[in-house]
Amino acid sequence: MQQSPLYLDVIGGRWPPRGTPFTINGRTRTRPYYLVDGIYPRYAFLMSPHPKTSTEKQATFNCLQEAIRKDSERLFGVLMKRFHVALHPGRYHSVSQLVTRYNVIIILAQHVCGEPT
Amino acid sequence: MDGHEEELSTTAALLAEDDGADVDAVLHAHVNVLMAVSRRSRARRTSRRRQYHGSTAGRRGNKRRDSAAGVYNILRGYFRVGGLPPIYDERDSETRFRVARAVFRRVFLAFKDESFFQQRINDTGKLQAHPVQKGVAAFRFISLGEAADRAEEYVRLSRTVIAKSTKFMMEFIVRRWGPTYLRRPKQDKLNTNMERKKKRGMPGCMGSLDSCHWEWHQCPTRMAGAYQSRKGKKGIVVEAIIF
Repeated sequence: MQQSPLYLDVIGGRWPPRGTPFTINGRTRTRPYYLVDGIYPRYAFLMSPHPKTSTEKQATFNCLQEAIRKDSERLFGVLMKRFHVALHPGRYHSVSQLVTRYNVIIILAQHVCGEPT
Repeated sequence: MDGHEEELSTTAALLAEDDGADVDAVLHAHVNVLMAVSRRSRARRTSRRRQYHGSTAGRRGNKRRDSAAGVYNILRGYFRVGGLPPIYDERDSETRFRVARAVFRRVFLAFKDESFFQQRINDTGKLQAHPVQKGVAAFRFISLGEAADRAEEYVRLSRTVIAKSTKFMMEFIVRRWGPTYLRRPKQDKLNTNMERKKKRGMPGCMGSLDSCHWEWHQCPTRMAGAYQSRKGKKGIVVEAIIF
């Protein structure tokens, strides 16, 4: 995680934009966040589910969180089914080549889906 | 090698004389010689590395692949040729290429005028590979995950050309569409997205994050330590953000 470009951008203050404040439980916050699963470290820009739910409130929170995370769980499944290059181990000699291959897969998948985000 | 030995022996002789004041200079020269030897051996190792030679004397001749048949097969199968309708319909072509025919066409029209993909005539006056062959080979490589020489029977190109065209096409795609498709979302798009997440009970949520491990088969031994993945395998972690 500490090597990921996203993490470096968040640490460097380039991302995420602080444009839209929002209110949770009466407190206004400005830092938007991503939903992740339990294996990620507990950073301010990542929101993981409760590891062991004890109250109904926590269970409801987990339910909502996992409902939105479902799309990301499906993503890699779809990419691997569609482009079998991702299914097999990479047979390239440098990391930049591996990265290019995955970028191509993602670009083509988005071509198939239509609109760029 | 004789040259090195000579240099080394002269330094040894100078050292044996032991002139007192000269020792420092001699040591310096000796180190220089040692470094030159290692540099030369490294250069020899680099030059011994296999490189792409192309068509030279003493190499096996090219196979007569009948490249025109490959072009005809592809055009007859998936496009229109000579007034005949394509053999395979839209669904078949999507099964084979894993993208819709319109997407293949869009990508093909973009890369067909690139210098590598243009159809050329070589020195013997023969027509070289058609861009559609290279494109189909590269797409089969991506979508079916097959080895580069697997598509050879169908598109009638050598595995070198297939591997090269895959490489160039991938680089081209990232160059051409990377800025459009691999950028951060703009503020207005992000706002509407956050509104949508708010309705589902998560105000301030930008999206979700997930990662997967992609195994790296050809990981060089010198880099194995840095790319340890799960269960003792080598690989990289691919991280995706969904908006």
